[in-house]
Amino acid sequence: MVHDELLLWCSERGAGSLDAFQDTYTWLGKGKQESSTLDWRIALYNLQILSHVEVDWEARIWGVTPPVLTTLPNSGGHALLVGQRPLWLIQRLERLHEDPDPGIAALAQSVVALPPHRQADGPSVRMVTLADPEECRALCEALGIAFEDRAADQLVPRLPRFQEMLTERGVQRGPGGIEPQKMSEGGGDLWTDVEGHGEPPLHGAYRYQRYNTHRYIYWIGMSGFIADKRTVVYAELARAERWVLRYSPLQRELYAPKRMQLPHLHARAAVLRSGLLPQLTALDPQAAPDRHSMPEYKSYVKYVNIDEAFARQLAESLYQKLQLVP
Amino acid sequence: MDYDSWNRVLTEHFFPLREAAAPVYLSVDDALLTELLTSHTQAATTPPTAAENFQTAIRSRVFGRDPFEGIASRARRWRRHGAAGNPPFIALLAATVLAASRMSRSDRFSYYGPLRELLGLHEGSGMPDGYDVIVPTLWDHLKWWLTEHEQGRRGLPSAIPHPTQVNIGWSLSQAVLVGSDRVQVGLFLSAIGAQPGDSVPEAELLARFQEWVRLNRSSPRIQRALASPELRPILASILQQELTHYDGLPRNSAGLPCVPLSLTTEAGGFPYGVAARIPSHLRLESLSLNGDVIRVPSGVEWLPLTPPDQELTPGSALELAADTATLMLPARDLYVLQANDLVGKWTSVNAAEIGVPHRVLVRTAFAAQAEAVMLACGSDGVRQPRRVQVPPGWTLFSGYTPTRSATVSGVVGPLAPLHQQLARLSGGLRIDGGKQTYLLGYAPDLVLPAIPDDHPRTVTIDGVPLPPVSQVPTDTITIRLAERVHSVGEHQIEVGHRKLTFTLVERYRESVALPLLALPPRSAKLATIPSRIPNSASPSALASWLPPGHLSGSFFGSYRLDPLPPTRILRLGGSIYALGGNRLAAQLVPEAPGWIATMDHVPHAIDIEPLLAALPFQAVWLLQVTSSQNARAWLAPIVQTGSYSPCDAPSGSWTILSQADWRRLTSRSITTAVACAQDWTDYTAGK
Repeated sequence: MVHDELLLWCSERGAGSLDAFQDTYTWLGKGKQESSTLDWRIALYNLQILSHVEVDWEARIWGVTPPVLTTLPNSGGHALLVGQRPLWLIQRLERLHEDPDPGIAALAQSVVALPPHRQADGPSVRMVTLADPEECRALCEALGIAFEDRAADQLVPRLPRFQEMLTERGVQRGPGGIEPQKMSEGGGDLWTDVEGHGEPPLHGAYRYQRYNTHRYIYWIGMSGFIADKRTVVYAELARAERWVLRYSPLQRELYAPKRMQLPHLHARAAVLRSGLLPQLTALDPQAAPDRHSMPEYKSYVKYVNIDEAFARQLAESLYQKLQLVP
Repeated sequence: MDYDSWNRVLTEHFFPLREAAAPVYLSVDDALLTELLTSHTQAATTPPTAAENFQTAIRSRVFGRDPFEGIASRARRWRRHGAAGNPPFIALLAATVLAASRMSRSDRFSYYGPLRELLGLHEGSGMPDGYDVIVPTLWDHLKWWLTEHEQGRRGLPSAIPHPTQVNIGWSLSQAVLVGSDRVQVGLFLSAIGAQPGDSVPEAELLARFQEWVRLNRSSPRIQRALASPELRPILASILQQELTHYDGLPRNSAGLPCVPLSLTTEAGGFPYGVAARIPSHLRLESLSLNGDVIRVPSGVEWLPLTPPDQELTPGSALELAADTATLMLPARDLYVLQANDLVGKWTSVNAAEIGVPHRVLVRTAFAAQAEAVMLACGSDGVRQPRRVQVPPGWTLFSGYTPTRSATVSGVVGPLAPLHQQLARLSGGLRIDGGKQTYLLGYAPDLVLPAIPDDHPRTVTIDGVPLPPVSQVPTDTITIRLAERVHSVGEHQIEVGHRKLTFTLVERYRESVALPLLALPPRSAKLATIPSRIPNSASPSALASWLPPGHLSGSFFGSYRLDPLPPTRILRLGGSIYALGGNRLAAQLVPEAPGWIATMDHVPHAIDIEPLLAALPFQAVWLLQVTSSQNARAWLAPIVQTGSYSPCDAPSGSWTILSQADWRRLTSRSITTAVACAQDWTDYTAGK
């Protein structure tokens, strides 16, 4: 409920500062019995990978994205509503058959809005059923919103490689900061302290303490590439040839370690195959079923409705060799 | 300088043309006279010399039995003739204010003595002849000139009569605060969260100002005014007047906006710096500091600055004069620091916030008191970081996260959330950044900070009083207006004499909101850092503002990859068959994909290609039989059979039928599209 209200606010407001988002999220969470302990940054990140908002974390602003109905492959005739959800649009979608426009009312015979499907940590999934994508396209045109055929499948070939992501921000020359830590090669902690000052030349993924957060840099000798955490992590995984992405052809699900989740654009592509946020899961088939529900065993997140070609294309952009699992 | 020169210099100093129509105080003291004379003569001057020069000039026009009549007569002529040129009485009024400033410096409340001394009216005592008629009239002339003749272009009148000292109140009101004191008032109003248009009772304003002064170590003049029973009422009136004209920006006596500075630090210790918080409604393109021009990027909220040459330390005040603004850092004994993502450092704030981690830098003499307050505000135990170097005589605490407010006064007051804050609206689904407009059902909360006992709370909502809230008056009260206000339109809240208004709307938008950000293309790929979109299209335009190649907030540009393989959807109903060559047939048994079954329990269609690709033969026709009388056939899409492994097959299955079944199926009455009717005939005939 909170996340639906949050998206409603984003949609009516249009854009704003991260401070305003945080304040609104905090206020919405007060007094709610379902009060979530989810950090506001994660709430915003979830909206971002669901393609409802774009966020410039450096400039600390967010902006809602245009509304789009996009078909979902292998869904039996469903299209997902992504982007902004202003009240005028939701109310109109829910009453298509009563729409004053006769053309829209006629299209309501074949394009039907489904009740919202709630999901944890994010706004409800909103879908329509359709028998003919062209009728859905016509409806979108009449409503003044966009239609895209299989947005996820269009997005995946455009996913940047981690090398391209690393070069988007500036290059760090000189020390990266204080209290350096290096990404570990395994074990319980992802980041371990390093000896010395963490000054170049260096190789690999490092993080440095800032006043209230971390800074991530991928070092290649004297050059440090500043990027977000997930990009730096996957750059290191590629360098060490550590293959962490799993895929189940039987389940048609893609798995990423909980601590090494996909960079946001890659996550968005995977999410747009279903409209569902990545869900915690366990991969150990040897574990007793009653242990599967225990949080400590859920060390992966899964993306559903992923076919193998899609998974391979996504993994390739991160220089990951997809590992098949039952 | 002679009288006319002083008159001109004073007029040009106090009443130049201004951007903002704010009250102007004719605050004259010996220091100002020295400054003006030095500037005019381009020669260093001492205060006694400047005072004597001014005194001589005034005495050249004020003398005899009717000492003020000469200037009064000139004033009448000036006004009668259209008020051309400078008002001829500014210097005289300045003299009356100078006398008041000298009076307020002494312990005795005696005005006419210093006035007579200044004017050289040594014969007689008490009020000089004509003072009670002429001087108030001259103040009235000034008011007329500023408001009606100059239309506020040179400021607004500020002289206020004293409630008991009727004749001298006008001049006294100009001498209570001078120069930088005015900025203190603006900073105080900003600190308590005053908004333009607010109204707060004078007594409450004065009490809050007194508390604020204790924290910010203001000028001796302000402290004397607060301590004087005679001057307190005037000060209260001045505060009320300033609040009436408050536009959200503290301003100095010249009307220049004052930008508050904050102390910055990496971890709470050395080195310290400053950052300016630029109000969103202040248009500031650049700052000229110490000969350097610093450009202020558009929309920036925080601007880190390099402090002057001397090393900046806590406890010291800093005032920087830029051409278009003044920047001020008050001296304090306690700094509440918050992590500031925009500055990239810990930055001092006015008061702590609930739920936000803080660091606290406090003079060691108040450290124990501070620790007690932090505990009282519900924080977990605070720590003293060992590796952070702080100045001698100061103590640093980290890990202060208040969970509630408390009534605290004195130096440690800012540790209490909402310290000194006025009642305000907070939260809600605010949808217009500039106005108090909220979505219906999501009205903001009314937050009533803890206040002293002698300020009882009465709250009305749209004229209806709320039942008295029985709780400790030192607690912060939050009233959820969303539970009490349920109608669209404007609503008014009154807290005592303070009024707050907000508007509720059922919905704000009637069309798609134009996007602010989007991910730009990078040749055939996408960037991951968004760019701002220049929106020149009319807000009422439909999807035409979306550039081509746009997808869910991302732009592909003009580069297009190969199109996606086609897909077809078949609506479920009846029985579905695939018919191939050589009279091959299979009944398809589709199932909704498992992943979507949880979201839509009633499957209504299937993706046909995956199901056909799983068949062991190439389907040529699809046949859907919905009743004994209704059957429809159409050409099947061409797929690569066997392209799905058994594990990869979509939800669904098939059953191979016999040739007898094929004949049975194809012999019934079947509808086809006209364009493929002949093809169907050929197929069933075996061609």
